[in-house]
Amino acid sequence: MFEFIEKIWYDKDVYYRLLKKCVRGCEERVIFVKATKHIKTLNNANLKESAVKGGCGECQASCQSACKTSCTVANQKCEK
Amino acid sequence: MIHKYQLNGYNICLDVHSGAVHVLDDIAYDVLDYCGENMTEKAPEIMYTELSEKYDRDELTETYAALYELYEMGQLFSPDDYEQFADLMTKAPIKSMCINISHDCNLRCEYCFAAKGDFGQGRCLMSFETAKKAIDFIIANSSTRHNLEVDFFGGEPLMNFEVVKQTVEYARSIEKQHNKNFRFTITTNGLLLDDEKIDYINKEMSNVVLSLDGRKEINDKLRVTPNGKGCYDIIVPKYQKLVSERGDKDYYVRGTFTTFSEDFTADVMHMKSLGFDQISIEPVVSDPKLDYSIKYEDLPKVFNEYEKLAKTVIETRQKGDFFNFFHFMIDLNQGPCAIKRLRGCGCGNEYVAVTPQGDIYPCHQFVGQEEYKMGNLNDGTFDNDMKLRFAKANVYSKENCKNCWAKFYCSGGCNANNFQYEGDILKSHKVGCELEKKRLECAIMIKAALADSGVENASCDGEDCFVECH
Repeated sequence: MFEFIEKIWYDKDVYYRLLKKCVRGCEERVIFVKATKHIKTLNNANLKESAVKGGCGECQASCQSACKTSCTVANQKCEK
Repeated sequence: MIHKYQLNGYNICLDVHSGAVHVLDDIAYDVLDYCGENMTEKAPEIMYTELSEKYDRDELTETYAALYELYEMGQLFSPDDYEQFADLMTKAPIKSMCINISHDCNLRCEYCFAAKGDFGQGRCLMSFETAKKAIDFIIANSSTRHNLEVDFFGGEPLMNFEVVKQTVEYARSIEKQHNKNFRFTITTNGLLLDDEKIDYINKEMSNVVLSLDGRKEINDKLRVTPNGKGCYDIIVPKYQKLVSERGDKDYYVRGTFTTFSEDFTADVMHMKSLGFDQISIEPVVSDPKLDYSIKYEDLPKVFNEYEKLAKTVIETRQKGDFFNFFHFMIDLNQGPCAIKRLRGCGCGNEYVAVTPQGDIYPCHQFVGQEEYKMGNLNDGTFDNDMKLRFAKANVYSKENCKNCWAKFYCSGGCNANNFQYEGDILKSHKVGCELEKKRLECAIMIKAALADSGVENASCDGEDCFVECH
């Protein structure tokens, strides 16, 4: 179900992986993973940007206790 | 600040204040020890001295340069600029409410934090009149917030299901005129589920949490009826029916692990074998004196089990199969904003719980702690000073959180657990902290492993991909 097609190319010392989404006919989404010879970066580091633009408060409440199933905020979605 | 760790063959570095996650080869992992918040373009000589036996000088220079580039881009040792935002939420409206619709339960689970259903306040059910006041309260106190969440909780909410339905109907009848959108959720032990309730829950509840501890022998050890019998055989077929008819709406089959089930990967996989793919198993939070409690000395065993579970998640996905383990869910790219991450659950400020008597508490875990009673729906009282005190509980007002690498993922932990086990809402619950950090390390490693094997891009949410594809 998750059959990604991988293309790798180099630009200067950075290589990019182009990953196509799954093959079940849903919309193709292209995402980059940037990497150098020694380091692969998994994500866009956008936490700072989110601090400036965020804080609308419309997101789902997250319970930090163990009794309700929502122990971290890391899995919450932004409503914007 | 960074957090570097090795897990399952991966060298991982989280840059705490930018949120960047890097997977490093061995040389970069070693060179990282010579980088810091004031790193310069030129590598320190001591790095060459200390690493020259292991690596070639040119390679060290090249690796240091790659790390310096990340530093320059604000993705390594990025500064902490967030304290200025910490008090942004002090005047936040109330947007979420836990309605304890029943302070009674038809199970007597040994580890129940709610004193086996009645929160130590006597068994009773909420009247519709009180539930209606609760809905009016959240509407009146939610200012311009559009999305309002109401969770039917207990005790066992299905013991008062008619009032649940009346409350939903009432809220729906007035939400448009107030420009609100109610999202209802319910948490049940499943005993009273029948076809009619399943239909209703699947229609009206945006999320449903179904309690089950996993394997029959594990579930039935602690989740027992008043006459001491286990509930597994009664509830599992009902859950299977509910989930099979639920469509793409959210649900979780949710369990608790204790020292009796430290091999909880087996419980997760058992739940999967029953046909559930949204699974949560969470550590019991209880008095360390009790034999089933997870104590500090139990942590190494639990950590090993989390690692085992993480590897099982990876293997399952690599085989083309899927299940979602709630505590390993992490969105590295489009998760909540940093403001949300500073404040976490917002209990006592954005979130309150109400009891059948109409008493208002900061959250369901505080119910019954008299000193934390915030007011009452019937007499219209509400302690705004206490609301402000909770509003100021954020990762920068908690001494142990301020400099913790996990602060933007756990957001300061559970204030109720902090109070109950450490005596202060601002003092982190130590066992909870350690477990949270381990889960985060596993969750990030899973992203790295799935990206590495091309199963999933680390920046996409695996669950969303899965839903879209089915």
